[in-house]
Amino acid sequence: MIPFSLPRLALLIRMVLATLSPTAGEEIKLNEATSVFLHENHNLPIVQIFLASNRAEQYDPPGKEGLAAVTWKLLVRGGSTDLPGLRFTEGLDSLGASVSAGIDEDSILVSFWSLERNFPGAWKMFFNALYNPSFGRETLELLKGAEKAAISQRANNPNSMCTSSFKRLVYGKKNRKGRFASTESIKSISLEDIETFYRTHIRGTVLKLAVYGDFNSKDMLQVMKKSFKQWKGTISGMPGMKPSNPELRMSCKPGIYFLNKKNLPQASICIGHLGISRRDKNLAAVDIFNFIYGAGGLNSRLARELRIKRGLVYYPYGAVTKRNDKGLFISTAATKNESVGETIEAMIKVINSMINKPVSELELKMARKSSKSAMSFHFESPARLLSRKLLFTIKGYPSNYFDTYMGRVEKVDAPKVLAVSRRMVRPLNLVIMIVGDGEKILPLLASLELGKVTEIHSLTCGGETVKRKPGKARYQPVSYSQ
Amino acid sequence: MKKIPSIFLGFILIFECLAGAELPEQIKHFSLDNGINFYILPCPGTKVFTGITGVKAGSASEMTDQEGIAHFLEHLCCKTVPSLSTTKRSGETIARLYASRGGRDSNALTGADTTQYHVSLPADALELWFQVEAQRLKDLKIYDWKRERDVVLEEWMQSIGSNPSGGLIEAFTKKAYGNHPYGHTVLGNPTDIRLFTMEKALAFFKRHYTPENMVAVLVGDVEESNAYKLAARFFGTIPPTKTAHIHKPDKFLPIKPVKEERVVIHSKSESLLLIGYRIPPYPSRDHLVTILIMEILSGSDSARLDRELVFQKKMISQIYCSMDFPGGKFPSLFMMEIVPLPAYKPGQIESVIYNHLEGLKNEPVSQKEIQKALLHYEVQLYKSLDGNLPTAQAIFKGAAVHGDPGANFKKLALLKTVTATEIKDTAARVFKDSNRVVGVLQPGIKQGDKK
Repeated sequence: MIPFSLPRLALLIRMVLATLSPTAGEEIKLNEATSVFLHENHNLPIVQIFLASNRAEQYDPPGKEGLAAVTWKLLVRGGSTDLPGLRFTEGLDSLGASVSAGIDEDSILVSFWSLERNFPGAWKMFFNALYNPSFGRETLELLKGAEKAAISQRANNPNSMCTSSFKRLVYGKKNRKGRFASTESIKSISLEDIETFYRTHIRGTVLKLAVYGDFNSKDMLQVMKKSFKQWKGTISGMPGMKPSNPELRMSCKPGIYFLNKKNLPQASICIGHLGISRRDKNLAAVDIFNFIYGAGGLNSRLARELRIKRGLVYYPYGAVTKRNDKGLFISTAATKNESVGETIEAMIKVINSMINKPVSELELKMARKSSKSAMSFHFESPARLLSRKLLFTIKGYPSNYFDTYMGRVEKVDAPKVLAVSRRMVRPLNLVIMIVGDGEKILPLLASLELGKVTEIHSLTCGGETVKRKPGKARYQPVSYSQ
Repeated sequence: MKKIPSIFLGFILIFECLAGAELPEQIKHFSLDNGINFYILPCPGTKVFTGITGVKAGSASEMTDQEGIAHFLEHLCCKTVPSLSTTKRSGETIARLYASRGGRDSNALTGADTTQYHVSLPADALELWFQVEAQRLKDLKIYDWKRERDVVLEEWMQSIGSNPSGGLIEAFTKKAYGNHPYGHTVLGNPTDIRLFTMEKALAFFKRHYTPENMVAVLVGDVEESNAYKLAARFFGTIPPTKTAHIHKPDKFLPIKPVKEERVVIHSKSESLLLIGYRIPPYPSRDHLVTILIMEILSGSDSARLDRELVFQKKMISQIYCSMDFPGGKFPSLFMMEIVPLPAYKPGQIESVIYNHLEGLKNEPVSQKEIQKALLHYEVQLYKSLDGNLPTAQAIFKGAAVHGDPGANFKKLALLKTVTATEIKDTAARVFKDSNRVVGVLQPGIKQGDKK
């Protein structure tokens, strides 16, 4: 084990403090397409490498939803031409090393973990798999099987069904955010698709790395430079960022949509509409809004109204999500069939409260403290902070986003929150999606007089297209008046 | 220790403690006269800390007609504390008190053996933490308990009532343990929940929230002497009880398994397979050896079951193994949770697994494989302690369930002494058909079911 060396430590700390940045060190270019952040920490004999790219779900071709996820997963599990499949897995395991990949709409984060003493061997093994991947048919089938199993699991969960139906309605199927991987789309992914995706998107564009742990920066830089010497990507504009579409409009009409799932004791509700871009100038005010509206745990207005005051919902949540083009204003709740009406009314009441009156001093204080401490608690785990910073860079946030965050949060006041609420929240535009037992809920909804209810059929998380009743126009509301 | 002004030092120190596998020695311990135990892992200079308070009582301490009351009480204990200021009459919400000081992860967890309340705060809010937590544990003021009962019912519906895998776990638990204290889930059942009253909650509180039963953990920028002073001031006033009602394993009749127990539930599209084997609790030797067997079977992608079922035969998409289901105080289950791929029936997957278990009884495991299993356990131990909250939770669990805050590290040391012969012997004792409980979530509607 590494002995505790106080002078060395103090030196390191001063270095860290001098930059006043959550991560030590600057982004260092390895070549035209790749760059690295280095952060030494000698107190656990481990080395962690994070690798990020924005070649994620947003690059899935229509009909092949899931391609990016499967390709990246195959890349970290499939091994290299020298050491394919299970032999690769065994090799890493025997060294106590591991690698995993997480993916969302516009970013991918690969995390590599190794004991320091085994780093050279483990890194060589993993880099080889990145550079000369063995895209074996066997491993591909295995991963496709796992994806399909995960899709069936999700298709059974009313909460996730409700959220995906909501996204599908709001974004429409032309937008990747409104399409979902299905058993069919996964089935259609071929080895050729994987190879093409790898060539154009992974080898062809920018990769950003961060290395954390027990190493010497100078030596590590040489290792990285040597590894990525042959890695040639091309850069155009933002590092591979898809152009944002500010003209994006809501795909469906506002109103109530219903998906019938028999014999459920509890209904899932999702309310909201299109949101904002992460290029918005007031992201700090959005974070404050989110805490106060629905993301502040038991202190949020949604939780106070729906859970504490009325006992209707266990875990209500609401937030404005930030995306490259447009995110969502989304609020979720699950409640027993009998209280669906009261819950929807209460949610709309809270939504209206955000645009009708300024937030209180206490709300503002809690939200500010929380947003700022979210940042300071990251210091507990520099590795986590480093990976987060890497992801933010990949997602196109300004490079000083973290450094200026505290100051920007401090400047948010009640009028600013109100202004941002009025810009983001439009009560007349709400889409209300409900999944539940129609026999019990539909009569209730009719008596609420919130408006017409459009019933959606065969809309599953699996990603099948919306089947409409024959003869009915798209989104033609079906009325359930008494 | 010399004070070094850095927010990074604490992290470094935490891992300095861990790196030497000397974490247990770095944990400071003191107890107050009334019996409350405090465990502190100081990491000076970090500017933040995580605190956990809790009791050695959870769902296994419930009476048979009050399943879920420990969890219901946990909800009530999260709501309000009597006002800390003398000018206010009503209570103040704990969430608000903590959030106003920049608190994070303010939450609570009820398990079979314990109930815990945790929060992460800036170092200068230490006094507030002591004040709030002492109030929480000594003086239950219940406002709006009926609303909270409704909330708990909604939670049950979300996790179990409309979730087939939650439903399977509920049925599996019942099948495995029957009327034993481990025989129901933490959330309880809707029939009992609907009959909860304030009196029932208070009775549970009085019986189990006693100083002898309380454990508190602090990890982060906390000085031991300061913590002691504050502990004595705020927790010292909780009166000791004469009779401590702590469940002991020997209070319950041991389950005498005679045959395999099996439960099958049908679901529209979801598929899940649970296989459990009855094992004695830590620190028995069979328990330790089973931990090593777990690593050999499924500790990594190239472990025996993952290799064959996931990679070679492609019968399942994943397998996850764990000890101590649903708790670690009494004899419990070594669990395998398996997600089968659609083409395979649970029986086919089971027979592959049972063959491997037979193999463990007959063929000695090589030293190389034992070393790999140990390495993997150690790596997972490091990974699991990334941050104050997970570290505090590990200390809490060790202290509250096993009476040893460093139990995880002790386990590692003990695992290193396990021999190949012991693995064979333990496998023969544990992996018997009669020792097994199986739960199946089968896709497709059962014949005869009318929808």
